Amino acid sequence: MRTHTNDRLKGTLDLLVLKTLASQGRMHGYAITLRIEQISENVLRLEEGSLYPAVHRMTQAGWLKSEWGLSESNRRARYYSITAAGRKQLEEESQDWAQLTEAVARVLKLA
Amino acid sequence: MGCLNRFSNMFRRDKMNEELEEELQFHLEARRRDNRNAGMNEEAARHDATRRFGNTTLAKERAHEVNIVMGIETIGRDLRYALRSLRKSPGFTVVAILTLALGFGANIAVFMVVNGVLFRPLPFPDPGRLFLISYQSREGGWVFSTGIISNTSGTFRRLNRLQLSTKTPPL
Repeated sequence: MRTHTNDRLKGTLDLLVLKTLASQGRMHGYAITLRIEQISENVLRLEEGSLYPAVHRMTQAGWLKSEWGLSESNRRARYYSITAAGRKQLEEESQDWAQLTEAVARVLKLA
Repeated sequence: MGCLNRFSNMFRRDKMNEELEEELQFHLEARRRDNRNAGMNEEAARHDATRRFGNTTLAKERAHEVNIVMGIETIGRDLRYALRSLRKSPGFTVVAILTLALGFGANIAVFMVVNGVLFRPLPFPDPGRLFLISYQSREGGWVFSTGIISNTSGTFRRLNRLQLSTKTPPL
């Protein structure tokens, strides 16, 4: 059971990115941004610049792997895909998220 | 990314910066294009793209930081792991340390001698003029003769003569 610190925001972004790549496969940074916006029906609009440090950090940690490729418009772009370690991390982070939301709901209900 | 990648990242900084720049530009370009396709004019499209992106310089710096800092953190972690595994196999550790000590010791000893003999200048104002000649004499022993070559006349003045042989020395 993990105690939740102020790293919540960073952890949440990680979770979203990992889940997106786990279900969509190989995407570049812009596509990830669009997908998250689209699925969350524009509720989640992250400051897009913060995506890249996060994605680089996750690649360093071994949860994603990156490679250069050609986009649909024939421009060079860096594509990311999730690794096995990444899937494990996704599992853990999803559980932590569920715990967090439960805890918040409990406090709201009973405090 | 393996530790090899992390290590080489420290040296490929320029290339990494370039690639990062390219990656961010791609994003901004793509957003701009989508905005234009949605009907915005050029100015508004670009403005919206940069606004959504936030601070580009900051993003670039933080992404770059991540690549560098992770390298340094993991070196500390690797060092601690190495120390732990050395502690677990004491036999190997002892042999390794002894070998290193032997190597160091030998090197230091040799260098000390060489330093004292070869690198220290001779206590003589012009050591280039000193000479030592050695030869084997007819009787079978060795003769050593030292002297100084004069710097003016090209002649020499003999200082010492040492003869080592089994026969009685000449008078």
